[in-house]
Amino acid sequence: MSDDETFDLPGCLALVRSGDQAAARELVEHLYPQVIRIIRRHLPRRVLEEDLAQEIFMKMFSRIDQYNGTVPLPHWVSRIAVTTCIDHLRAQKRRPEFRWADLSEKEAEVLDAVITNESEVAPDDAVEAHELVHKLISQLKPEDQVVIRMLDLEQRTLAEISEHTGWNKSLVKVRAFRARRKLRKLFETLEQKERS
Amino acid sequence: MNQSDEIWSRLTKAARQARDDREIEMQSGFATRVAARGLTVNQGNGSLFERFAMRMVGVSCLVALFAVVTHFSFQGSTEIEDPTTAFFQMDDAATIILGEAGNG
Repeated sequence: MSDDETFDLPGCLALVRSGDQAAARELVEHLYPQVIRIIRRHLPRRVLEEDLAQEIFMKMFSRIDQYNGTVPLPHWVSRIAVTTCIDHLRAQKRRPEFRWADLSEKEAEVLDAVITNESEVAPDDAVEAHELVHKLISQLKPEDQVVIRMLDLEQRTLAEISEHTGWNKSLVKVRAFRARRKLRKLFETLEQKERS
Repeated sequence: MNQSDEIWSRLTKAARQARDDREIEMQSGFATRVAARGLTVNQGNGSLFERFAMRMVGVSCLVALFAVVTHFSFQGSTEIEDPTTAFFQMDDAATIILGEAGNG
């Protein structure tokens, strides 16, 4: 696989545009890790990531003549990948209501602890906390899910999110605000259920 | 920061500690297959001129269809009031005469 520093992206792109299959293969190999990471960040584990990666690369090749170099190619591909993930999230069944009963025993313990105590989550419970966060985020609209994951889990800046999604900063802020408001309501409901 | 925000903050902080141990491993032949299919798709898109030409064929068909529809609807809606004009405009004058004689 090509190293990031030594890979001649503009040269490879020119060859791909001229129909060079070896260059197209190299481009796929070069971008594959980035595409897989995006899929893994935004979609649940059950998703067949190879199929989705293939769909993303097909879109990339079909639009490669439209790429004008105003943003780096990896960012442009990232936008295609994020949009494809959003389409996939939209196509999934409507999100069921978040319920305590759907959580595993360990996840319920973590949530209970985090709602009732003011202490930090134990490092051993990181995996459960991660699953829990993903279950909570799945209650949001697909676009809001993408924004809140990038902001709160990947700790990206507004500028970075804007670069990777193609949305302007104001739109990213609006989506983050909407997502946080929904999460607040969700926690309030969970707290009420916990008390009753 | 209200209580819900604090809960969320604690949860996400813990979630960030979780490591994704999955390897990023590409199936053998994936890149070759995708590259071959991708280039075929790209070539299938055709040049700008080709796409423009196909659009023009579509527009031409629409114009032709519109012309045919307009022509027949105009013919159907035209009524000739004057019997003399009607007589000279008919293809078969004998039928008209015989028809009129039959009616009279």
